[in-house]
Amino acid sequence: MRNRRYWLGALALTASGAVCADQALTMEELDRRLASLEESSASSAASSVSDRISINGFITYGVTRHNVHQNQGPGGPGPLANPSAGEPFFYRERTTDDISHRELSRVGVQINAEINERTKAVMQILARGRDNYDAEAQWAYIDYAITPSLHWRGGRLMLPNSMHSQYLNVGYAYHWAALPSEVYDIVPFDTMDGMDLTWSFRTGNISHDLSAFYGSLDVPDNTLPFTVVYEGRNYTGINLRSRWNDFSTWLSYSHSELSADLSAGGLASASLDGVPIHGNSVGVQYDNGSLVFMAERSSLVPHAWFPERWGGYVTSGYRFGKWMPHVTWGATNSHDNSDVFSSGNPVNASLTQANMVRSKSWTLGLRYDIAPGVDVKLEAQQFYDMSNDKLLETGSNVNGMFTTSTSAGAIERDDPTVYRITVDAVF
Amino acid sequence: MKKLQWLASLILFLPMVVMADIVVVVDKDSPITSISQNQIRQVYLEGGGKVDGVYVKPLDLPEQDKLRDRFYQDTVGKTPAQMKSYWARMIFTGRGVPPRSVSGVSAMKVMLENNPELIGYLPANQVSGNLRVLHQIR
Repeated sequence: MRNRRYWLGALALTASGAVCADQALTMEELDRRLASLEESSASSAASSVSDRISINGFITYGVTRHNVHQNQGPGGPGPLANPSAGEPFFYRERTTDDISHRELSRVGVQINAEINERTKAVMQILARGRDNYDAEAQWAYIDYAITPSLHWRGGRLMLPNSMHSQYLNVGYAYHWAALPSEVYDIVPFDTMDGMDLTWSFRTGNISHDLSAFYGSLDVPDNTLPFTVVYEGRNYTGINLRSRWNDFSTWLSYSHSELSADLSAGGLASASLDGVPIHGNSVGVQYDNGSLVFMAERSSLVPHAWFPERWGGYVTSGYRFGKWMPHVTWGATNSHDNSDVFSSGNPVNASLTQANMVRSKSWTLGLRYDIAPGVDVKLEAQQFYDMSNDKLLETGSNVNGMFTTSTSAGAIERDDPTVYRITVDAVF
Repeated sequence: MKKLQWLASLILFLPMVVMADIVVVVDKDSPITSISQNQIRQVYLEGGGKVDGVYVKPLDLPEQDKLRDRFYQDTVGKTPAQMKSYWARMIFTGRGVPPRSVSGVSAMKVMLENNPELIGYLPANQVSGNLRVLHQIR
């Protein structure tokens, strides 16, 4: 308000003083200034609301499919039967060889409201095509600035699992049509309810954001024939984001206790009761305006039948004006789960085998910036080395992220590829 | 013939217009006397920051203003599309909001002349006696 009064006063002074002081100032310009002066005083009530509340949004429309025109096999007799026999292979449990207009499409709207100089409220609602556009809050928090460089937030927050996790739905914010699944498929939940504390500081020319969080989560999961609610408690974590000129780095660590009741499906012995689970991630980015380079490695270590898994990627791209071709190599692997296999619990062993993933991929993509705020992207991601042969356990899932069934039979073609086209916008 | 003259003057003056120096300025009453390119970059990428121990908030010219595009290209090394992508990451994670945009060069001058806590950029030939030049780009 004080600023506005200054501004109005100054405008009036400039406008009147300018007549004699500045011969070059035309009557037209004076009229324009007076008009805008009147306009701003007439609408001061309305603009004070618009000063305090801002609305931003993002949207992606995408199409995707893969090229595996083969149905899942029947598996063996009895418990070895494949419940998805005769169905297509589902990449990340959803994408098939039919074009999907829903899988990648989503819209988000964010409202920021300044309550006072130190406090603001932020709400971000996300509706995804794959959820039938049912809206869900991704961010809903109060932000309180304890000092200008120390912020406390409480409410619903997106989890900082990996470098791009907190904006994973904002397609415009990265060069891929979809974030590398080798890393972004590892942790099966995005949000938590709790709080975080972020301290922004500098050491020389390096800017840092150091953040710690504490909260819990309840995630319903429908990948088994019955609904399981995974409860994460005492979810704590710390992460550091640093930026120096064209470089930025990312480090994170998190810890939680996971519980889940699987007795409804007759899998009581696989129920989890406060098992410790921790994750970590390290990443680096370089962007000098033309050349882009990123690398990241994340891992999740649950002390349960849910297998340990790490994933990583290296990507590089070059901007030729509005065009940016890029290439990415990614790899993921579920490694040592010998504890589960040696425990003699066949239910847990089969859950582990089904959730094990080994996979590598090459992604070739092209991004075109139609205008600032709008892009279109084309992408093909070809997978290979999805066999778990190199591990000690035979009978594990051999189809990477294309199915969780261990009895589907191997994909016959040697170039299983996922294609994506997206249009992203921010506003 | 007229067309030729017009073309000649265009060829003569266009490079001058395009290449006008950009200066980073504050109000004369601000205690800040100079700023490094790295500090400009930090203030504009973080939506504010301390320079010489004083907190300043940056102002921007409107989107698609040629001077703004050059300012970002020269100080931050990013195109308008890259800046948009950068702010998308910041806004949608609640980590920051972009600098406030003013309607044009004259509004930038008026705002700066009356608010010592603001920092902005102008074509070098538009600096009035009430403003202090902290940094010159090219």
